[in-house]
Amino acid sequence: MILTRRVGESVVIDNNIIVTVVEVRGDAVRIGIDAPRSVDVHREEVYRELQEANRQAASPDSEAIEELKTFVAGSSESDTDPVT
Amino acid sequence: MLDATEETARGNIVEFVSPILGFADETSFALAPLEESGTLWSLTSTQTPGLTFVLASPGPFFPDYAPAIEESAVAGLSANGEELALLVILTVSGPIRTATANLMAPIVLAPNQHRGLQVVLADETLPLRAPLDSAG
Repeated sequence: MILTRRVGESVVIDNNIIVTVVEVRGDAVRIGIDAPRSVDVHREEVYRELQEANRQAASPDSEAIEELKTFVAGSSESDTDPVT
Repeated sequence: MLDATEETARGNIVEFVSPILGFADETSFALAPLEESGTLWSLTSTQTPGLTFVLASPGPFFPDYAPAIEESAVAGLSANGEELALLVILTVSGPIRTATANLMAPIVLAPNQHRGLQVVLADETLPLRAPLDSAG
């Protein structure tokens, strides 16, 4: 769906989400979003990056986890003995 | 006194009131320590076998990391003033020097409520992949 709106005008989605065009300057549009707390709003590219980062983080192999544990144990040792 | 195993099994279940992004169907995870120092934690789905995230207390790696979290972002935790815990998701898919932490979107927990969520912080300068190795 494509709608035309002027600055200051809004679109209502599903009764309780209001999207307002706040300002238009060149090719940039400022948008105001009034939504219930339960509705997550993200810039699309940030949202996709976060999803991707989470997928990459999911279910590391056990070898990597063991290496991480060693790394953490090693860092706390080096705090007490900076020579090694 | 409760049986220790039973207590652990019940006590460490976290209900996610808004999902870890990309994992919309996962609402229930078990939180367990990975070692004794309290730095590393595993967050394992109770719904999908094999789905685990590795979390870390950010302090030992990123001592200056103390992000401002808007109250509205964590309202879903119904924490009622309870102190919240903040952990970062680690990506450890290779040699340790490539391990990173997601400082942009940490996991915030209300331990007593057994609730958690992933918060996307308003500060866009926070890195999504901060190297662990250079941090220490």
